Amino acid sequence: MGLGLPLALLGLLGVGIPLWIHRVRKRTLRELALPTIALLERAVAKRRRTLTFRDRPLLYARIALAVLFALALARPYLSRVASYATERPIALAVLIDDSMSMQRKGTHESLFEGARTRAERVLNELAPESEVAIILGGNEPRTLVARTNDVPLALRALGQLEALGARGTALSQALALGLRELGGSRLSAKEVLVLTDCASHAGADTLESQAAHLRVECLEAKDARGNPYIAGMTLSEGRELDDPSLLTVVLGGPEREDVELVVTLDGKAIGQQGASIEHGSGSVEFSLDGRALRRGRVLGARIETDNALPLDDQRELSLDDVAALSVLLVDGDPAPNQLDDELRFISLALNLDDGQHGAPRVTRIDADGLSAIDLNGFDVVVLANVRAPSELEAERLVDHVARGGGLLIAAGENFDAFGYRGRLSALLPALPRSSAPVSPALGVAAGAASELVPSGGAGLETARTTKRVLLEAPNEDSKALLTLSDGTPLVVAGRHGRGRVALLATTIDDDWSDLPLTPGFLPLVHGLVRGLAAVDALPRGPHPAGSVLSARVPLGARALYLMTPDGRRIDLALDKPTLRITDTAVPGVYRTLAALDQRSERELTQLSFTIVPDTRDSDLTVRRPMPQRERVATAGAGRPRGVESWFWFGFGLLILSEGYVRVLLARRREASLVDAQG
Amino acid sequence: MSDGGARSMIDPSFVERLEHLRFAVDGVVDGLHTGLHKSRRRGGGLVFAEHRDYRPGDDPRTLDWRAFARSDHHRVKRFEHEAQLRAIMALDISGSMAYGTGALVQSKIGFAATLLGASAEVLLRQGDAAGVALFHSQLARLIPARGGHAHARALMEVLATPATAAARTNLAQTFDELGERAGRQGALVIASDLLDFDEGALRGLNRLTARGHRVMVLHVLHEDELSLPFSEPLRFTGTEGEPALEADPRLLREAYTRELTSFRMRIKSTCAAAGARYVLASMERPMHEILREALAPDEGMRWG
Repeated sequence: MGLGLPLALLGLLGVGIPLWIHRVRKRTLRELALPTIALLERAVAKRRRTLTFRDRPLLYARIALAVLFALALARPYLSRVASYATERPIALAVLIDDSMSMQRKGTHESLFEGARTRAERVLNELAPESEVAIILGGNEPRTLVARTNDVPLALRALGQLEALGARGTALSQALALGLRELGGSRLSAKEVLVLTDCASHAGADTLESQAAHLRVECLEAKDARGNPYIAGMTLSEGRELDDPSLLTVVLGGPEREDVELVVTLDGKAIGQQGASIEHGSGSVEFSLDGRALRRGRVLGARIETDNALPLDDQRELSLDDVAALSVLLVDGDPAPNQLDDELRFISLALNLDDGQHGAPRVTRIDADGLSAIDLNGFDVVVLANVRAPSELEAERLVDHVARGGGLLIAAGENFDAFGYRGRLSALLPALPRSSAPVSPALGVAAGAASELVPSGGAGLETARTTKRVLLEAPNEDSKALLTLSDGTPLVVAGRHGRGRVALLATTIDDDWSDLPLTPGFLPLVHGLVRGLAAVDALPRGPHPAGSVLSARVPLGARALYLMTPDGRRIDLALDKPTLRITDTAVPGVYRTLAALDQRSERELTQLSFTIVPDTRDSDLTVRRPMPQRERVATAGAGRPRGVESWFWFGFGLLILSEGYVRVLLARRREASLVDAQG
Repeated sequence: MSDGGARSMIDPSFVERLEHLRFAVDGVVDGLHTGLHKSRRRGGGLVFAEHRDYRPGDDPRTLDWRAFARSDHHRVKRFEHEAQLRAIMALDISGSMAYGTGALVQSKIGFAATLLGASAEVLLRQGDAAGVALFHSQLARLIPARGGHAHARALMEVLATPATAAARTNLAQTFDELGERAGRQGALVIASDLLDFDEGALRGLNRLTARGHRVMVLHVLHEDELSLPFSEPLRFTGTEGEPALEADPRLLREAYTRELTSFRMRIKSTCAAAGARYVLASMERPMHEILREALAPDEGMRWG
């Protein structure tokens, strides 16, 4: 029950009009000074049917008319449920909040189901030729149904819609998406209906739109229980394998609540402990047997206490080192002191975390050890100033690259150009010739951004090269990613088999150039290593539910599958260079499997990740929009479902007519009485 | 009685109709002057009262020689003393008496003054004394009762120019003052609408009659007051400061008439209980009829 336009209640002041008319009418009566007025008063006292009394029905009818007129203007309604039943077609974007908090229990169903039912009802009310778009407002916002006038199609899509996961809320982005859908419509009446629980994080109270009339409907949850949740989980492993590991579970939730927490390993409970939440937060620690925490297993924690929202009550932690690349650095010019070490700068660069993917695991060997090491365990091999691989080493390197490995070759004083031409000519993107000093020193020309050099050479402008290996023109499949200021290639990359090879025409240390001393060196090294690896590592997790994760399509993969925590197997599209993983609503550990050939299938730990609930959605505090924003009424659609204005007017006129009839009947009766007395 | 200058308020044709009227009171009156009315005194009147034995000193002219011849006793004849009636014409000049329009006689006060003037005319014509009292909430003016042409002219002047006062009627106060100042046994003719609804307003009548006064009450009411003949809703206001009242007279006529009748009957019974004569002086009636009713001997009712 409410009013669409409460200010219109000022119209109740109009009640004064009939009162004034009544008073004025009284004043117009002729005055007569009657000495026996006292006797007249006694007669009035005995017979109440005076003029004043007789006119009261009319006065009351007029007052009722004024009140109903004001009510009609105020647009009263019994329910906030608005009506979209219009005569003219409208373009309507329905934003359904499918975030985690919408999965609370409502009156009869979950809030999400209530929103879906409401959307279906609205769609059924639309006039023919209306256009509709359905946007899902959980993070990331998605277009369920692009703008269409095929309302049955939209209804079918709604019918198949199921809330799945622990997404956060992104109503403002969803609104932008909806407005973009409405933007192309030729219909003049554009409406946006937002169906949400108006939880404080949703920002429903801040939504605004100039392009379309916006209406926010807040669905109310029936469940008034508190919502404790797991806000984070960290595992500190012991130094030795046998040392116990410490699992710390951070809790959030109501001001004060006691909960029971269970720790699981691969789904089986291995510990249980009570915990208290004080002032909205708490934590509990579990000491775990380090020997049991082997790679490939999943550690989990969940709150056993029943509460408003179960989805944020559990978390999982993969014990795989999922994000790290493995890099083998081969030093062709070992030096006893660290300052002269050929790998000094690249080691430093790779040990640094780029903030997203974590630092690669780096293994350093001398050139002599290349023949003995198994290259299968490395994503990228870096030959730094290595003279030239032996026949055997060359064969293994070719095989490594052909199977999807990466190879970076950096020049130097020991670099034997003819040895490389002789043994790795099939592999190299460009054939090297002799090395030659340059004078004056050459700078680096800015290049285009590429997969291997995402920075496009930015930050390398000040680098000066005094000596480099001359390279012949790149092969057909190869490309010079960076060039020196004289136009000669600095970095050339090409493919071989499933792998990639890059050739740096100068040293990776500061012997021939001051490249490692420039700001562009770190992104260049990280870009080359990640680009040369067959499989790009995803950004380090855990990721909030609903995140869209992007990675380069693994080299040589024939097919990719994503195994979700709830057991579904999702095929990932490989038709684009960039892999987009969007189905991340369910919290838990996601594992990516790749079919590299007809028979073999293996997990790509670089593309495995962990999804956690968006804890912003765990705060169930409701922040409703201002009433006028929530119930802004426009002509036509979106107005609260109330009694039509014409009904109020008609009802008022009926009352007024009733008053007149009563007065007329009273007068007629009086006239007959007077005649009878006469 | 033909001093028309001062009595121009009275229509000459009306005066002619008064010729045969006589202001008579039953019982005795008290007065030194000789008149037409019985007195408690015995004296030189014409009406034989009694015989008594002669005593030395009696006027020999009073001896009844016929009685002496029949009884051989000296008896003297005694005659009733016929005293002059002293009457006060009391006129209500309160605000409510101003009701009425047009000529003086069409207002209640004018009508009442004319009635009192005619009564005084009758009194003076038969040799009695008449005075005038004006009252509202109290006795405003009193002209003692006298006879004679000059006095008659003065009375008529007062009655010809009555002026109402804004004050409310206070009958109890007025009757008490009249009783104290009207002198010995005489007559009081009170012309008023008697619109004093206080509980003991008319109790003063008892005190007046107890003092030996003959009291006649002329209840003056306008035909509007009697029948409430209005045919449209009106905003009624009082004449003596009562709050206004909006009402439809057509709806209230019946109830009002009942109230008025009840009011009149209450006054009439009070008057009867006190020994006063009540006459309804409705302005729709001819004045001479009212006076004829007022001055006619009423055998059924003793007054005086």
